[in-house]
Amino acid sequence: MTTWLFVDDSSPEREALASQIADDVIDVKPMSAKEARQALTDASLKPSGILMDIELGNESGVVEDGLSLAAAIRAEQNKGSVPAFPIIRFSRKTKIAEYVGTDSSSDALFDWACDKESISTEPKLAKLRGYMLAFSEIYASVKTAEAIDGPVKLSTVNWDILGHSALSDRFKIFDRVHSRAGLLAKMLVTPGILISEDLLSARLGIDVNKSAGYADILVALSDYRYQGLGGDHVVRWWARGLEYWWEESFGQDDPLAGLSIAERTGALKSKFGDITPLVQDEKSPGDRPWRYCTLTLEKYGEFMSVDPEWGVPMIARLAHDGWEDPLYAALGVALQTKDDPRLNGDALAFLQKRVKTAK
Amino acid sequence: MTEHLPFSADATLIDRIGRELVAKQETALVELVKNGYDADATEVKVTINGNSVTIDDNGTGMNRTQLVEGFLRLATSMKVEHPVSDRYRRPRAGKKGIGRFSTQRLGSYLKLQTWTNDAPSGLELRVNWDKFARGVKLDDVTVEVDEIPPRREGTLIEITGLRDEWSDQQIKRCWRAVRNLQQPFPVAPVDQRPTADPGFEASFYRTGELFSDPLLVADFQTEILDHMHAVVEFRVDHEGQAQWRVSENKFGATTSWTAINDEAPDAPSPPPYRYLRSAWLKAYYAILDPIEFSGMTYTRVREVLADEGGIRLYRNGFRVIPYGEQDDDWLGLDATYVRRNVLVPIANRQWLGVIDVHDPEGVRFEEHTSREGLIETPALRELRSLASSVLVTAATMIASQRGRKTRAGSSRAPGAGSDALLRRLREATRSAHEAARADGESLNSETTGAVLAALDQAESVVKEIIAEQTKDYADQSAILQLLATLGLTAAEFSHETGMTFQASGAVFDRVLRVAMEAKAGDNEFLTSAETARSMFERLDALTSYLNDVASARAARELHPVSLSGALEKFKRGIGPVAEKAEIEFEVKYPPLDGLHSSPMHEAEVASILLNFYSNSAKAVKNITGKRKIFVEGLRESEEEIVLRFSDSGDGIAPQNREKIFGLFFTTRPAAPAHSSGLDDAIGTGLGLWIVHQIVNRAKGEVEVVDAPSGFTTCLEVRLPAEKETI
Repeated sequence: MTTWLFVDDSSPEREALASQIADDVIDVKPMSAKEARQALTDASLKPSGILMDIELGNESGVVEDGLSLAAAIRAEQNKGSVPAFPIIRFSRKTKIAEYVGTDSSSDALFDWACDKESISTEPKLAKLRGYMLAFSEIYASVKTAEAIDGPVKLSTVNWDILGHSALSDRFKIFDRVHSRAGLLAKMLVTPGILISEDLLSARLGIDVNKSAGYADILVALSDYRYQGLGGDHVVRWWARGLEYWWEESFGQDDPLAGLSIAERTGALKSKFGDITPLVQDEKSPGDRPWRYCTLTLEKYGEFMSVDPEWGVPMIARLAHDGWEDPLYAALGVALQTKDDPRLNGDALAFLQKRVKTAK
Repeated sequence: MTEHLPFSADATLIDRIGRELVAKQETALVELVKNGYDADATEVKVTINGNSVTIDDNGTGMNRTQLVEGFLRLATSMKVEHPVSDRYRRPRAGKKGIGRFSTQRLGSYLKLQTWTNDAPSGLELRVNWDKFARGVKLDDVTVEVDEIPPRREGTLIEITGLRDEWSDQQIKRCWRAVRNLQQPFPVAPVDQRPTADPGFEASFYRTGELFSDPLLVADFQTEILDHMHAVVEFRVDHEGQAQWRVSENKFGATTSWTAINDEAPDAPSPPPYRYLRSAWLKAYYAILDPIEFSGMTYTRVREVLADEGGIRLYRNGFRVIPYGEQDDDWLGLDATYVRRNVLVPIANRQWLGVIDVHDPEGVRFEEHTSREGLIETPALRELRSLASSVLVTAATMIASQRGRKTRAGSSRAPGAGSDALLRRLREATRSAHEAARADGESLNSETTGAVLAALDQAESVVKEIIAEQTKDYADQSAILQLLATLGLTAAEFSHETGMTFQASGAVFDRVLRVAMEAKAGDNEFLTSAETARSMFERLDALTSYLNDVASARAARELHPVSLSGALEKFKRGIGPVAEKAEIEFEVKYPPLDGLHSSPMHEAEVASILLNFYSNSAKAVKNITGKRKIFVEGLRESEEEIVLRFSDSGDGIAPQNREKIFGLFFTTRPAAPAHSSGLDDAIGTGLGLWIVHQIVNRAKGEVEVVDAPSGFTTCLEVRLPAEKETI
């Protein structure tokens, strides 16, 4: 049983949400900021992690907010006076807009950010629980004197093939448990070295709900499933592993990313039988899906695959590490929110013109 | 030895008492009319003719005992012992024992004739008040009584040798003083109230020297009712089926009897009320604005309504106090108006109305033992709801029609009044030019005078126009301010309650999960639980959408808004709600075109969609066929984007196509005055007006167009597209 704290300034609401998030393996203790601070200071609680609301001002006598409390905890973790544990920013969208906006300076304090509104459906709640368990495991297991291939459970050779030196180099530099664990948590959360099953199936060009052969594909790919820390709770696949598997399986000269959906599924059908090609959303043109639409995931928590040739590049909030996938928005979605400053305006204009020309 | 001596009085005492008790001649005349009321008369006719006044009533008259005891004995206790009248149980209106002195106050000679139904003849009493002179003993002065031939029952008083002149104003004052005695007008059909008080009507006539026909100088109908702007009625039959209508309307068309049940406002065939039976309303309505009245009428009507406005309640023909008394707001009209839940004038002071309920057994409407109102029965609650719903609906409809007539700024075309004024201005200017051309010699010439007069006229016309437009804008500004306040309040509410809502959802989910585990074998329970969960999820989708719309308030600057984006959010937010209402709901827009409008507020586009949906959802409930809503956004050209909102509802009558965007226009009965704030927002006639305002501001157009195949109604919004920057 892992025990998380949920720090929020509204008693009935934190009680309610805590009981919603808790399950058989996760215990969530709702607490005010004052109580949490006290519990951490006197070490009466050693939480597996903290869900941190941003606004804490409704509690009398509390002047700090969730950002400053998280910064204080990280500072204490640096000093070693507080054990390492993950912190998830857990707040309403309106509060995030108010306290954070486009300023990304506080993002690094948190292992992940989750909108409170998003957990109203079971799949999204399951996602939160998965991350909580995975992060707890990572933070509890990571050691300061250890190479990255240990926690990710790969041999050094395999890490060189499937991993990325930018990540392992940074891992070497970090000398605190929480910063090392944070890096691994980020690897799980951010597509790049690892990809989710949504992205895996998109890269294969498959409609998983209509493809009986998909289960066999997953079995065939099992060597490339991430087995490292947190992997039991958050299903991830080695991105490069997929490409190697493709080459091994189909021996084609063309890399997977360069094939159309029809070409990908045509090859898969020959080995796995019942495969239905993915139908791209009308707002996401192109037939070589490889990325996903960041805006759709943010707004609706839904996955929408993107063909980078037709996708609109987006600027990441934090400086982009070399191992992270670049961000894209589907063209149709970008056209609905073209004032978003993260969108690459030149690319958007170019693609818009291209659509008109195609008409 | 003790002597027992009686007091004796000088006959002049009668004269002195009369003058002391009845100082004013109007009071005296009113008292005599009240005596007719106390005698259960339904009509009293007062005629002032030169030197005489007659008061003729059709009351129960007096027999000999009543005449002698009631008239000749001073300080009689008759009215104390019999506080209500025999036939109609009217509370006695006349003051104790001053009727005889009133006759003395008015003139020097009294002839009183009275007939009862059970006597073979009538009685005539004659009094010469001049005999009650100083120095004469009271006992020595007698009055004369004779039997006279029979007539219909009633009493006729004739007073001659009038002591005062009578002006029209004094007669009117008398009339106003007695008006409170009467049910202002009949409401329930006569056959529904055989034992009821049929009402009381007092009319005042004056016969001029040259005319033999009496000239009506004062009457409730001509003084007040004829000047009211509309008459609203409802009727509830013995099975509870209710109908309402506007039977008179100075601002527009009347309506025919239409079925209604305020508890099922969207039902195509409103069901009967569960408890309410046999009730009738007739209410006169006035908009208390000087421009809607002529001359002094406004002051008179306003004063009368200030004192007597409201809806009175009569049970089996008898007035039930305190309903409709001053300060009694039993229908919640004042409260609703003060809260500004309803924007049209609907306060009690706007109405003069009567509700009659027929309940001879007292099973549905039961009086408190204290005789202070009725017990709060289900039937009374339904009556309240129906009455306030009908009154608010009618007032809203009338406001819409009046708005079109007088509010130039509220529609695309200026109102008729403004057109006329502008025409007059042009004519005046043309006259000025013509006169100026004809002039040229002397500043004092006639033509120069004409020029100056014409210019004066032009100036006054311009002032009128400005004054009217200013008033219109002030009205609209007030409404918009109110709407803005409501909008901000709603946004704050949504913001503040969002977290609580989510927390409730969390608790609900937990409780549901535990309950479902505990009752794992109970299929019926599990089905109900799943239904509850899916309802909550729909509510969650809608709440998220509304929160999203509300959060757009933070963006104060106008910017191009993506119609495609708004439609996507709308589809996600409203789709589950439509699904619950079994509406086939389709939203379509070009996937690779943002459909950006010219600068607007994002919340404005959401408001258009929500208002359209609200109307369509109501319209499709009224049909038995497939409920369908189809929303489409498209680009008509480089310069224009279009929103089409179609439904398969009961359609918009051709004559209403132009009207639906007018202020306060609605075809739906309003929520009762005591209803929740949410219901208040329905059927206010504001939704499409707001849409019209938004679209106008964005320099677009909105209209009803031919619906696509399979649909009955299509509302089309055309907005200028954002100028391309590529």
